[in-house]
Amino acid sequence: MTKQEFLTKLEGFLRKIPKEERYEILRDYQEHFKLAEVNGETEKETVESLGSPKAIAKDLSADFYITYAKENRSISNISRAIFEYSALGLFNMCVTIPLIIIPFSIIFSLYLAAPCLIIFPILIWFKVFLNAGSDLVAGIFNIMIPISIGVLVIIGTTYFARWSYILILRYLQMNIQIVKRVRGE
Amino acid sequence: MNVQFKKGVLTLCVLVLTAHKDRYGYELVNEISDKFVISGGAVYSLLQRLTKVEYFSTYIIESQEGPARKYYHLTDKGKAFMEEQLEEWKSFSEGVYRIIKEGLENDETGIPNET
Repeated sequence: MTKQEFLTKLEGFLRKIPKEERYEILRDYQEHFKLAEVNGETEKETVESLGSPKAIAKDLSADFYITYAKENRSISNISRAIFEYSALGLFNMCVTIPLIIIPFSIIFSLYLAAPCLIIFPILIWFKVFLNAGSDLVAGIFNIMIPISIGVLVIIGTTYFARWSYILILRYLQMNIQIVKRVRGE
Repeated sequence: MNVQFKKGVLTLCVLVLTAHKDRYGYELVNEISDKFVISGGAVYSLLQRLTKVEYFSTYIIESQEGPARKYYHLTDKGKAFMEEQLEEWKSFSEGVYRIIKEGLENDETGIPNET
């Protein structure tokens, strides 16, 4: 492999990480090639001493997405981190994906259920109000119960979501180390 | 040598080499691969990672004879991390050394190793 092939391959493998970061990495390797040339190394020697572009990119990409998801929390970032990480092993993906889908579906259903707890009592209260105005004050106290449960569920789910996010990332990070060790990379 | 093991040691080597003197990537790769076999890519990935967590700050120096060089400077945060890693390494290597010594000494006494 020539210097140019090495750099092109590495750039190709790194296309998913942001531009500035990618340029910075490629810049480092270009500098290395230039200095190696000045020192009388042949291109072939230098390429061999650096290791394969694929291994370099794999190592960098997985790390990159996990740090990135940590700094910028969002569903798309975490799913990218999961995807990038799953590329490390198919078996791992079979284990990891269900582990991640479960908390997601719990969060999703709670977020759906909570507004119902808030909206329906209000609708019922209106209906009672329209039919017989006398129960109005007592009605308010009665609907307060499901409404406050609804609000508590929303708050609870938000905390649960936040902690799931952090725990999933921790788990992925720990697992990456294990996968790497098994492969002896 | 076990690769994972080597990677852990590599972090310590890079930190120690930059403790008193800012260095550039090519210099670090050569300095380390003179002593043991390691891929240059592993050194660069490590440098990039440690820079991202602010253990290193970098600056580029243009040179008249030859290409520009990016120097890595160990920050205070990086120095604290180095101290931590050094302590860990010391107790680890002392432990391993003692185990080796004890293991080999027993062999030499001729006592059977039956359990």
